[in-house]
Amino acid sequence: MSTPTLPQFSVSVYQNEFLPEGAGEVNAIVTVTSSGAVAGPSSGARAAQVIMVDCSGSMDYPSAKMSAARQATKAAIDAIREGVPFAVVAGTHVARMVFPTTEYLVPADAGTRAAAKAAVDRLTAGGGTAISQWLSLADRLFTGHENAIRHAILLTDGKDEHESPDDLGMAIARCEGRFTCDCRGIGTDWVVAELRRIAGGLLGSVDIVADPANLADDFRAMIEGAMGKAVADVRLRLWSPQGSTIKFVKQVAPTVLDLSGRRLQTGPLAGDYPTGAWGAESRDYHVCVTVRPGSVGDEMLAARASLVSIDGSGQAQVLGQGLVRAVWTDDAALSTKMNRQVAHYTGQAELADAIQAGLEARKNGDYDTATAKLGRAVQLAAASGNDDTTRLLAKVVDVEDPATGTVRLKARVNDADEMALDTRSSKTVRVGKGNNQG
Amino acid sequence: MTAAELPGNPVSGNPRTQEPPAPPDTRACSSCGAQVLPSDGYCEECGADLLVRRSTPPGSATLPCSDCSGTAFTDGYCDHCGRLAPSPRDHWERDLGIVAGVSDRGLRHSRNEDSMAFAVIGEGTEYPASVVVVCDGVSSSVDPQRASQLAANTTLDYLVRALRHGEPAPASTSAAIETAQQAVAGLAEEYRDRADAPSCTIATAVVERGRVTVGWVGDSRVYWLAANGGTSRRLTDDDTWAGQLIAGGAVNEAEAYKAPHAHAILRWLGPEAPPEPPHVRDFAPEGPGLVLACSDGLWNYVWDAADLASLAGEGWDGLAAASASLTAVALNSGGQDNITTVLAYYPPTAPPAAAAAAAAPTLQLPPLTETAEIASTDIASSNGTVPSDEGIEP
Repeated sequence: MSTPTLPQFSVSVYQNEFLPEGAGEVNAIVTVTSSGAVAGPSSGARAAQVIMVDCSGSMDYPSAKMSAARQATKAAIDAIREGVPFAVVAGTHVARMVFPTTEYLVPADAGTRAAAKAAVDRLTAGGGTAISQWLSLADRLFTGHENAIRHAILLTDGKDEHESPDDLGMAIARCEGRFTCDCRGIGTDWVVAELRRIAGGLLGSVDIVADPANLADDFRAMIEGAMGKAVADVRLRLWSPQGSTIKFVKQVAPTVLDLSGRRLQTGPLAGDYPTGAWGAESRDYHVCVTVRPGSVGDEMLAARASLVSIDGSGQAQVLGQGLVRAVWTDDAALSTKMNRQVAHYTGQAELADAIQAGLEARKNGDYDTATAKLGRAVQLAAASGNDDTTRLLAKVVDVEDPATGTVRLKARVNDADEMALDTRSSKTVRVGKGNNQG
Repeated sequence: MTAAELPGNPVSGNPRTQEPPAPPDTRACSSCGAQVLPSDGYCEECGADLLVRRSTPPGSATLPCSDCSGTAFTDGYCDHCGRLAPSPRDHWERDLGIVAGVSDRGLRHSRNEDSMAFAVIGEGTEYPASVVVVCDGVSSSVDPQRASQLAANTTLDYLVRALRHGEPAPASTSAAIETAQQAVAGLAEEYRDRADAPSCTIATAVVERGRVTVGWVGDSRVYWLAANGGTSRRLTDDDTWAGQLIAGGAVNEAEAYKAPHAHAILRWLGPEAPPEPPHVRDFAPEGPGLVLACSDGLWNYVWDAADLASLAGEGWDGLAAASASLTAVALNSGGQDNITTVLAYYPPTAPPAAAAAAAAPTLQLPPLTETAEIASTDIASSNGTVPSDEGIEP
C-alpha cells in the first residue's frame, strides 16, 4: 500500500498583534481545522482499539451497571471497522484479557466480533480497582501497532483504591503518546479528578454516564469517533525567537486542556506539544508567548505555530502553519483592543477553573469561596453563551442574576449533577465566527 | 481648462520621425548595450524603447537582520531573533534628473507600504513628458505593499505606452488607473478573506508642455508648486470625509482633519472598491514650477501648497535633494506614517540651474546599482557631453 494521503489541515491565527511600547506578552488563538476527508469508512488510516471494562465488585451494586457495561461493550465491538485489530480487557486490581484470551489484538470480522461478544456476556464482577494495571496491559497490547491510530476506552465505576496515586501517575506517563484514551465514569462513586488526570495525559475525553441505559450509545459514538481519525500523532510545533518564553499553550476548544508541561524540545528554539489523532474536526489553541519588548515601529515574529505529523520512522511532516506576530505601536486605539477570540477563550478557561475551584471549595465546606467561584462561573457562562454549562450550573446553584453572578448554593445537590458539572466544566463553546478580525 | 481646450496633442506623432535637437552621437542601448543613435526611437537590436527612462522598483536584496545581524530568514522574519527582515523597501530613492523621489518607512510603522514609479518620455524631443505615480497601501488590508507596488507599476506601464502612442493624457490617466484597479482586485483571489485583500490609494501626474494632468483615488495628493512667486495649489481633493468637506469649502484643512474619522478613506483600489471612475483633472501652468505627488505621510505634516513650495525651494539643488528634504521634514515632525515624495519639473525639461548642476555629472561617481536608472550618462549625453573614463576618476 502506498503512503496514505494526509488530510488537509488549515491553520488560522487570531490575535491583536499590536503591543504598546515596553510590552512583551503576545496572545493568540490558533485554530486548526482538518478536513479528515481522506479516510473513508472502509479504507484509509489503520486503527487499533482496546476496550477496558471495570469488573470490580462494585459493578454489581446495582447490577444494572454490569449489564449496561456488557451491552455497551458489545455495541462498541459492533462499531469497530472491519479489519481493525482490537481487544477487550477486564479491569480489577489486576488486568485480565477477556478477548482474545492471550495478549494480542485480533482483526475485527464477523467471527471475532461474535466470539468477543460471547466472552463479554460471560463477564462478572468481583475484585478491586487498580487502573495502572489496565493501562499497562493496553500499552502492551498496542505494541507492534505503532503505525496505527491507537485508541482505548476506559470505563470505571469506582475510585482507584488498590494502588497509590503515584502508581497511576507513572502508568499514565508511560502511556503518554502511546495511545489516546477516552474515559467514562458510571454511577457516582468514581473520582472526577482521577479520570480527568488519565484523559488529560492520554489526550482523550472524560464524561459521566449517570444513566447506565445511555452507555451503549456513548460507546458506539466513541468508537465511531476513533474510526474517523485519519492521522495519528499530530503535534503542535512552536518556534519562538531567541529570548522568548512560552508562557502557556492550552487547547481551548472543544475542551480546555493545558499542554504547557508537555513540551518536547525539537530544536534550540522549537518544541512540540502533543495533540493526539485527528479526524475531520477543528480545535483551538491559546498560545501565550513573552518576547523581548521592541520599540514603536518594530515588528517581530513571536511564534510560528505548525501542525506536524510524525510518521513511523519519526520524520515530521508539516501539515499547516500560522504566524503569531508582534507589532509595537504608540497608537493606544490599536494596542488596547483585545482580540475577540483571545478574550473569549480567556473567559472560557477562567470558567473551567472557576467551576472546578468552586466545587472543590464546596466539598471542603468553604461556602463563601464556593459561592464566589460558582457565581463567577454563572456570569462567564451566561456572557459567553455557554448554555450547556449554564444548565449544569443551575443544578448546583440557584441563580439570582446571571449578569452579576449573584447565586446561592443549593442545599441539596444530586451527586450526579455535581459530577456532571465537574467533568464537563472544561467543555467550551466557540466564539461566533464572522467577526474574527485580529 | 479642459483637455479639449488645449491646443493640439502634446505627444502625438511618431517620435521616430521627429528630429531631436541633440547631436547624432551614438550611445549604448540601456537594455542590450548595442550602439544606437539618440534619434532612434527604438533599439534596432532588442527593440527597447530608447525614448523612455523609468525608475526601477525596490530591489529584493537580502540584508542582515537589524537586531542580531542574522542572515537566515523564514516567512520574512529572522530565524534567530524573530525580527522582521529588513527590506529594500524601507527606504528607496530614485532619480531620473527631471523627476526624482524618495519613499521611506517613517519612524512608527514596521513596513513601508507606499510605492512610487515614474518615467521620463521623449527627452530631447519636442514633446517631452514625465509620468509620476504614488500609491499608499491601505494598512487595514493584508500585504498592502503588494497592492501599492502593483498599482504603481501597472499604471506607469499603461501611461507610458499610451503616451508613446500619442494618446491624450487625461483619457490615458483614467484608463491606466482602471487597469490598475483590475490588477489589484485580481490579487484578492489569493486571499482567504476578500474584504481584507491588498488595497491602496493612487495619485498620478503626467507633466507635458502646456499641461499637467492628475488622476487619483483615495487620499494621496498632487500639488502644483509654482516658481517665481506664482500661486501654488493642491490639484487633488482627498476621497475622505474631511476631503469632501474641504472641497465643498465648508471648513479649512486644519479643522477638517481634527475629526476622529476624518482620515478614513472613501475610495481605494482593490476588492470591493466603489465602482466610480477615477478622478482626472488637468490644468495649464502659467509659468515654471514643480509638480509634487505624495502620500499622506508627507502632507499630514505640511498640507499647505505654499509651505510645500518654499520647502521644495523650486528644486534648485536638484529634485533628489528637494524630495529628501521634504521627507526629512516629515521624519523630523514624527514620521507617523510611510512617506513618499516625488517631484517633477515643469516644464518637463531640465531648468537652467539644474542643467548647470547636471553639467557636472562627469565629476560624480557612478550611481549605485540599486539606482542604476539615475543614469548620469544619459543626462550627460543629452547635454552633449560624452562621459569618459577619466570623468569618473576621483
